[in-house]
Amino acid sequence: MARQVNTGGNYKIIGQDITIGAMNADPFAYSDTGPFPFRSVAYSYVPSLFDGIEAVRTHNNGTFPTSNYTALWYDTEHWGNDPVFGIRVVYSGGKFNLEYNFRTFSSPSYIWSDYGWYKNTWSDGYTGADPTTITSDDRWRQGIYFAYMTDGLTFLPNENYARYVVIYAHKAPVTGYTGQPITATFAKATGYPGDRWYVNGGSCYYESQGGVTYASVATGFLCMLQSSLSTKIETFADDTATPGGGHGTNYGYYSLPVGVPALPAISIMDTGMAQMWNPSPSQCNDLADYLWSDDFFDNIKKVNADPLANVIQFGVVPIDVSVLQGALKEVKVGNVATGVNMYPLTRQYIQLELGSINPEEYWTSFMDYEPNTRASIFIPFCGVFDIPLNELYGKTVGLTYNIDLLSGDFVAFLHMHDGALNSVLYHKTGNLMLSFPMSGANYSNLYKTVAAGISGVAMGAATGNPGVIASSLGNLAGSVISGGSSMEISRTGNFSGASNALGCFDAYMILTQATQQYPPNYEKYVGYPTYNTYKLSSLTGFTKVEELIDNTVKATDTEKQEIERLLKEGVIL
Amino acid sequence: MIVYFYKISDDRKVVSKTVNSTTLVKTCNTVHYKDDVDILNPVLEIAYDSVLTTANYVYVTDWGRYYYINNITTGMQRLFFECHVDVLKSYTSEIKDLYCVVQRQEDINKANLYLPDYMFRAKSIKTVSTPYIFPNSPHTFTKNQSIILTTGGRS
Repeated sequence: MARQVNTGGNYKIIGQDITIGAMNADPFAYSDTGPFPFRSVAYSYVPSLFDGIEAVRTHNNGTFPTSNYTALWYDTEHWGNDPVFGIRVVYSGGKFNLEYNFRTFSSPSYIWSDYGWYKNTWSDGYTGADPTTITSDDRWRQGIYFAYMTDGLTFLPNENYARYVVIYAHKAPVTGYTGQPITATFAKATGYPGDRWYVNGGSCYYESQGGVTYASVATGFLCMLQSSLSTKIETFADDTATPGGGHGTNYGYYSLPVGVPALPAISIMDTGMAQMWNPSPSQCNDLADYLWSDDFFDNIKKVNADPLANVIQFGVVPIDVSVLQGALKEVKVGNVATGVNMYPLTRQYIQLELGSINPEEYWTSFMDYEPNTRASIFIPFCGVFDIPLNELYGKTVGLTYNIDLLSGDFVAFLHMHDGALNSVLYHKTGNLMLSFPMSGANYSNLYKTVAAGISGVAMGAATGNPGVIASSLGNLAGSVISGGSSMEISRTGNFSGASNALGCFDAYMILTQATQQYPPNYEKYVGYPTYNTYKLSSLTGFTKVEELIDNTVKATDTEKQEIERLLKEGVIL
Repeated sequence: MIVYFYKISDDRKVVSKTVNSTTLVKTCNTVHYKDDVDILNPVLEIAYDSVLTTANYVYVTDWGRYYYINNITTGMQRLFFECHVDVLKSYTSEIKDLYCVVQRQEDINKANLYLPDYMFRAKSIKTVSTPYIFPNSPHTFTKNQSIILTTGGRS
């Protein structure tokens, strides 16, 4: 399994954002002799369903240019002595947008040209449109030629020179796509001056020589920075217990993505049996005026006894549905033209994105997790729900509503995304429509709904009513460290009916954190939890042993037992 | 038998206690011990010397061990030191060569703070906060638009 490599920035692999730290003055120190190690910095966002971005270079086997200019790389396959930097996007299914951007040049002493896109080879000149959308398993390459003039052969570091290529590749919005996550394995190669690790059994590798980190390609990963920005590659062998970790060789299962479902394709309007309208207040007034006008009664009494028999439902939703409006047209009630124009709705369902949050640990310790810290999320029109914190930290938590405008019912999806996980973990249902009674029968139903809603809003213990969506902070006790238990708290009751319009519209997270009681010099008398294997000579200070690997002290048995007892009670090395 | 008498201030937990010229009280070569002595819990006997009554730690060269002085009694112009072996100091180098699964350690760089620390205490005071709000709320839900459902729809 690949390891996260410590660099000047924060690196993550496969589907996570990459941050690059500040660049030093001269990250492109180079040699006149080849082969040129990879020097570029590539910054990209690699979706988890994307096979990655390769930054390809070849070795120099041509003649180095004259003193007029100094090139960063050489590629003799196609452009002779012209140096190139290729970007190869490998597609593994789905639909992606590909963008690229380059740091601009401003010095008059530069030379730069863009050879355009190449499809599947370095030699074909692709003459089609730029591949802004990749839909097939082709390999698109962008040949970019970097060069810069120098005074003689002296490299002049200047921020305005080409410093890096910024590559963006992200998944285009498309529904119904499922892909496979990326795997990567490393195998160490022999016969190289440094540590070289090949990726996925191919020709791509990372190499570390004398503290400098190189990468030939970055399949599924980002390119490595120079040693001035990065530390040496850590071992890619199986995990060993290390401080802060201690996990084993298996990271667990890969997650297949479970996305927010698409809205239903069919709606009541497709049946032709009913029509939904999105009237403005004045249009509502006009319709009401018509319904109780003499004209209406003259017309409708021939068909219906009740003027409202053909008005099935009237409700108010707190969301903008104008995106679903069709062309303005006349309302017909019971096939009787009313003369009132309204916007019909073209679809019954709508999806709303409330955005995402990125919760982070506060203490970066066990204190951030249950039972010392509890998290809840309030979902408008649903209520407050406890969420385990390990499902929140380090993840992008998004909230999406799929709403049925006919009934006002919705399903709210809480989806969590990080490098490994990209799935909906929670579904919460509710109703966000405020319904208005249109007839006596409707009114009695509405009253029942309102009464239920009011009675559900209460402080105290959560009820056993499955319809009540209440949150409980729960008991923070569990051990003596909790400082005592907390009362059960219900932060919301049942949202329905009229109470929908009166609730909070913010979707937010509630954190309840315990406060540490941390005495001075705690570590000297009690120590920190470690649970790792050490040779005692490598430690200093307070040390409490869980178990001796082998008591090889040449002492009497009584003394050895006492040594073991004292080590387990805690000693000061 | 040569015995070094020390006066040390190190806690018993300290493995390598400070025994040097600074902590040395007196070196004696006329120390006796009772017959059938328990080397791990010896009783040392020496002529009365008030200086020695300040000592709390000894090293017995013949046995190569360090001892705590648990008790001092006197009688017949003699001092009797009831001792118990200090295994930590006596076997310091060998103890440091041991490999162990370490449960707790002073160095935070060796710690895994994600392991529950059952020695920690938390106050009853809790902090409640709302640190994150989904960015597209609340304006998503403040539109208030009407929906009317009527019969028929084709015309």
